Amino acid sequence: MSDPLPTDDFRRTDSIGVVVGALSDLRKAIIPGIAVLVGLATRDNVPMVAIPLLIVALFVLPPVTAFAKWWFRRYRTGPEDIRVESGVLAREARSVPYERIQDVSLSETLLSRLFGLVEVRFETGAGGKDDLTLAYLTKEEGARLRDLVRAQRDDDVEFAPVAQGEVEVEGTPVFAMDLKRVLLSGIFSFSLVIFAVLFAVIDQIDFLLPISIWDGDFWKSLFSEQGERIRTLGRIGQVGGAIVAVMSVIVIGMVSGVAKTLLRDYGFRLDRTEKGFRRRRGLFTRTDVVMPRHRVQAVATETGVIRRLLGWHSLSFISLASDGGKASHDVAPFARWDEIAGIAREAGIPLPEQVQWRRTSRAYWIDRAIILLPIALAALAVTIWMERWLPALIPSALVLLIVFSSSTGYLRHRHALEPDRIHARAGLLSPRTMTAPRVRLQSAQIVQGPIARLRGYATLHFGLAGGVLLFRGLPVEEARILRDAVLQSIDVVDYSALPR
Amino acid sequence: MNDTPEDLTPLDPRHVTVLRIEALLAMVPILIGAVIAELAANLPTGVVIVPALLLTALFTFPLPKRRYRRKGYSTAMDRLRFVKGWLQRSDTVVPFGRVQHIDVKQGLVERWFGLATLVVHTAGTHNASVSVPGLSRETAVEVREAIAARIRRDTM
Repeated sequence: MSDPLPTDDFRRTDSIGVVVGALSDLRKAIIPGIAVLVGLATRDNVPMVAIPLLIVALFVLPPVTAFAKWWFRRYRTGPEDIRVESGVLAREARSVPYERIQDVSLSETLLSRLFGLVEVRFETGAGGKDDLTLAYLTKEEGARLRDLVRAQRDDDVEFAPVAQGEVEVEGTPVFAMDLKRVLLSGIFSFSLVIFAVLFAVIDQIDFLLPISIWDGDFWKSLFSEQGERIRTLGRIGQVGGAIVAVMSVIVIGMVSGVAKTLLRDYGFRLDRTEKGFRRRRGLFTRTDVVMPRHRVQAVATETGVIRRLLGWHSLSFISLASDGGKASHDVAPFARWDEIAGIAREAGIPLPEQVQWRRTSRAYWIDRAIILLPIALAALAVTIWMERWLPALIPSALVLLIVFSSSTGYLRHRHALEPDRIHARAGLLSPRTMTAPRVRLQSAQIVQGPIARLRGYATLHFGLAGGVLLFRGLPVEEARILRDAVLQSIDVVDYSALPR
Repeated sequence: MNDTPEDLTPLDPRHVTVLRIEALLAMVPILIGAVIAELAANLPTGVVIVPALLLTALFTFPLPKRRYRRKGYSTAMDRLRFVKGWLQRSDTVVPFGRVQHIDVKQGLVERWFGLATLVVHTAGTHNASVSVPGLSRETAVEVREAIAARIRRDTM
């Protein structure tokens, strides 16, 4: 390899790491290896080469590959970045600028610990699997690298990790939900999950019950007994019974929704602290989450048809950090528009107020229907031809759905561009909106298929840390204008050190 | 989107050869499968092999050239732009200031020809990494240095 940079300070990871690598490979291979050996032993006509091959695969390959990996992996701490070169045949050189390193973590496995070695991971905003890792280094070398990185960004106050629940400072309250509102919001989170839970419980304990829910005879006898009674009730009784049944399902759904919401959102309060937002909520398990203001990448609002009529909306923050498995953080699950607008303003990302919404290309929605419709129609034709009337309902429902979604798609999707923000809006009766500051976007991609090129529309996909900001079926000119506007905003300020 | 090919730098011409070799290597299992299928099913010679060969020829000769012609990159205005695709055309722009870290990768075939793939990683969920293949190793390193310098400059 010819490298234009001075290579003298390239070094390898610790040589004992080879042993650790080989041993951990061996550990992974040993159980399947034994299984295969036992499998072979129980057979008669095993070719003679099989066992030596297996032994080579099990005991010779791991050390050799571990050695090769170690030999070909070099790293260097330069004036600007950390470089790692790896790969035996296919080479890969990774460069991570110090400015982009958000944290350095040292971790030990049981094996590496025996030898006093650590794995060093340099986390950047790109996150997760693409992080740079060095395995294995001595503890001293790991500490040296960590200190080196910290020293490079010494002046950066934000480097101090903000642990959840660490902040004790009371901020100014921004939003809170009293019990009445929590209960009201519960009514809108109608949920029938209780039936699934009941079913699962009965399924688990059915050995204790005299009935079996999977037994068709049980239901048959139940219906025939009860059916006899229902028949004797007369027309009014039957209708009344049906209404009572439906009502009870609705009541159960509401009650379980209220219970769920009460458990989650009881005592909901959001405070503005020095660093960002602090949210506390929960009845039995009270969670306390701090969300630094600069990590908010975008804000999203949501509502329902009835909720909107009554003036209720919800607001969430989008960031790289996850909130209990969800990518976005609920900061106001049930609030008036003024309230969520206030929170969004507090976060520095005001919601769209008096903006000029623009629409997508009509051609895109027409083409979508034209492409999808024949498939659904063909399925419908087949079912009709085979005289299967009941299955025919599925494709016909599909046809209706496609026609409906395509014809309303044009009305549902809108976007707007403001000097500092970009807004996306989807939905007619219960619109969802997403607002992202232009400078927080990471990349822009315009994609056009053959039909899109012919008909002059394109899909514009922005890279957003922790979320999706996608505009389908924009007129090409519009897509370019949006992209160029966003790129211009990005040129002005460099905020990329922020997404963390 | 054929209005701006002039601002784009074409990839290294050796990229065509790399694409050809990679296509050929990818077709080898299919060719072997075709031969075995013919032998096993006792079909007249050429029924499966000839179409497989034609397909290989198509993937190896005209298509790489076409794919190469549709690709282009640009580093103007401190933005990395990469355009590709014939049927599905995509045009991706990553501002240098949004790059988190950078890889210069060399596959085996690329290495024979002194080519490299530049991969930039961003913080976005979409386009978390953008690859620009078919650069000469020198160009890839140059672009990497330019991006690194920009990141350095921004934070000073």
